Amino acid sequence: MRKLAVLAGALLFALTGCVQQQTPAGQEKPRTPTTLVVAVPNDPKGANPLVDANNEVQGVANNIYSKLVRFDSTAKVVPDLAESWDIQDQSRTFVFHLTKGVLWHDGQPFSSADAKFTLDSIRQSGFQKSRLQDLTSVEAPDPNTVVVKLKNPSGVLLAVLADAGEHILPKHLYEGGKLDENPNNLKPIGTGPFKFDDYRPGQFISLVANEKYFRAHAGVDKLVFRFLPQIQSAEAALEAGEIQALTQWSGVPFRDLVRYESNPRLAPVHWGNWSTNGIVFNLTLKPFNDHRVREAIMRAIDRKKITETVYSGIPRPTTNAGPLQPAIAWAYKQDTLDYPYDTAKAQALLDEAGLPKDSAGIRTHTTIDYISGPGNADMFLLVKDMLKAIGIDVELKEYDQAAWFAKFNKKDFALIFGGFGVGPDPDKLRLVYSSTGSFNQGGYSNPQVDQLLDQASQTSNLDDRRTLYYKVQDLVAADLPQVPIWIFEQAEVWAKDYPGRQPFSLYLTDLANIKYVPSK
Amino acid sequence: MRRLFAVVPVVLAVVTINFALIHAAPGDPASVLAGPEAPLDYVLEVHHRLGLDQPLWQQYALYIGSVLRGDLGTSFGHRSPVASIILDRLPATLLLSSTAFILSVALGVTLGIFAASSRHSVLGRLTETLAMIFYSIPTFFVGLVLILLFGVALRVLPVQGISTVAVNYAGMDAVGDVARHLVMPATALAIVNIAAYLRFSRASLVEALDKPYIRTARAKGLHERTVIFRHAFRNALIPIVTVIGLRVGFLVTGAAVTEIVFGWPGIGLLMYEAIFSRDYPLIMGVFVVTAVMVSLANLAVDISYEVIDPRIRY
Repeated sequence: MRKLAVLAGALLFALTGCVQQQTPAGQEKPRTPTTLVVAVPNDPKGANPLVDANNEVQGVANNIYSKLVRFDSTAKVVPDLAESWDIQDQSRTFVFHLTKGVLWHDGQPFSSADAKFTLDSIRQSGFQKSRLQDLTSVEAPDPNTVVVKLKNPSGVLLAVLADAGEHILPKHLYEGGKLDENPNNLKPIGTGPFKFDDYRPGQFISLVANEKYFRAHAGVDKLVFRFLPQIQSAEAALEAGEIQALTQWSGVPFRDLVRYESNPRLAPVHWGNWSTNGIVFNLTLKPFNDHRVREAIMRAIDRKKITETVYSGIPRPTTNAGPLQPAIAWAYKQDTLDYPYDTAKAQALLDEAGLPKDSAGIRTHTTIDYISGPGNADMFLLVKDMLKAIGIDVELKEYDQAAWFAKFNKKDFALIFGGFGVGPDPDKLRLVYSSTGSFNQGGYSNPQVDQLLDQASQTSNLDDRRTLYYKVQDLVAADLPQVPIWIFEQAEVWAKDYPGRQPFSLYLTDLANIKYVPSK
Repeated sequence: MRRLFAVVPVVLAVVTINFALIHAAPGDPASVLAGPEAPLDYVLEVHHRLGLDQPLWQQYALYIGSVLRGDLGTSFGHRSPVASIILDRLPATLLLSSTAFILSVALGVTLGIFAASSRHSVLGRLTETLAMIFYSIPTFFVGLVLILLFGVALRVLPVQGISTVAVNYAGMDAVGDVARHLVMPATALAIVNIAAYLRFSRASLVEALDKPYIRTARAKGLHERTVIFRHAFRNALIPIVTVIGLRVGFLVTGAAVTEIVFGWPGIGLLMYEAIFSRDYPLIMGVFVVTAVMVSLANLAVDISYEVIDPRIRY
């Protein structure tokens, strides 16, 4: 018995001995150089950003590589590797004048040959190739000029080149092989504000500031992306001071944002973007091919109640049935048609549509497939109740992302929950609302919308494009292929001594602006 | 030797069942690989490139063929050989699970002996009750409580990962850093197992202590400690060794929940990521490694019986 006590005591002592080596509680070891540790849920695993569209791959790549042009924090296209451009031949020819004196992280000079190589590679095997399919040629007449020619006039080429998957790669390292099998993917060389430093699979990828960056030097010396797949653990790491930011894909629950407001060390930020979360109808199935049924469903859902009850009132409910949101200010039509909450009208519409109530008060049965995520289960329980009230009996089914995609791509659904990013340039509406759009699995087809979207993509004049997109919003709202419920709200939590985060910065593009400003 | 060959059909059976299960689960690795912004035609291209449009029996045959040649294939997500990815992450898991294993066997069996020999005393009963409570608490809950208490509230221990990312420690500092990170996950993992070994050894020893030869030993006037350790414990050993031995096989995957909660970069966390990204070769690779380990551990347990109890012969 005594021996047991001694043994236990020795063990305990050994453990506490480990503990006491830590610096005094509440104090971080002073960090030199300044380091910013940011949490992302997944490991990019050395994927090539032209080939892999996942958020973490794009986010890390945006800090290592540059594009020809980029979006600023108001979603406007501004210079990056191209310092200026001329649009000629009625928007069929784009001449890019490249910034001089730019170096790759390995010291080699950047030139137009790299840009040509990259654009040709994307057209061949990048995931954005369908958006560049109208290009007829990419030429590099001199080291500082790239000339892109298209078959038809394009008002959106710049927006495409600033979007995901358009990072300029070094020709001298990627030529003559497959993009995704190149060992440089594991130690990337770019022209961006941060250089690759170290990668530990499953743990983190660390970058250091690029001393020779062609724009303003990064505000911190070291940037680390820490892979933390579990949100609870990531939040604990934030509160314990091990990381300084939870990014928009960590999935911070909105109710926790409220809690962080009162934490003196932390500053939560959130902003609505151009994505809408809603219910997509399979328009080939009865009774959802009937507009009255779709309208009834929209009128039965109290969008404000959902955002207030499930999401602590942080994201905003949609104010109309259109496909765009206020985040794309220049193209958003404020007074687009809405179908406000009105259960009496909903019931009347269903009666009209020939769906009477049976003895149990049920008019029809259906399923809603949705993806797991913070609050989604709760939201759909509310939706189920709201639809039950008008006589639609709903069976709910929850899926992880991969399974959701499978159902969606195979059109294997009646109603499915979806959130689609149709920004920063509204030309992305075609992915969801054009008849051949690759995210149009509900079967929506309106030839007028198709034509308007094509026209809007072929002019650079913002006023003309606005007029056309206004018409698209009216048509889509009238057709109601989806019920938009709430506007996607990106939520992040930052340590107060790392200011500089701008809303709308896409896929973490402005981390170079973050500085370490120690609080007193 | 003969028994060693019996491992092969077991592993093959495990591989076959898991292959069927993975492919039965909904979700396409290509869509995860390409990402949410990728258009459908690109996803279909990736699907073809991964060989996923081949008939299932063909994919199965190709896989079994390569496993038998010792090739676990290439991970869809990492784009590098599965074997090297697993080998890379194995040390972290072995560090965590063997620390927890040694801790839980040592404490569990010791406390179990104590609980059995003092089973009529207040302390003995208290030990048994506590064991039952801790046995019932899920590991992730213990982990989160430890994180909140020691990591967030008291800030004495790090809450995530195997090392501090912001600082580059070297030499003994690095060892100390890893040791500090190991404390909470190893404790969380050990607690449930301590309780399990405690309860099991207690029960096994109690059963042995009730046997007639124990009464004889006491009647002979032997010291109680001799009775317990020389006579009862030795006979109680066979079931205890069985349980311990069987759990050795799960050293690789048994720490999965702990690894996920603590962000510990081992095989468990690898498996978690692989499942969500439907990385078939990686998932299958981990299953193969686990099946082999469990089979070999069982074999070792069988052999150890002959050593412990000479009456047992196969």
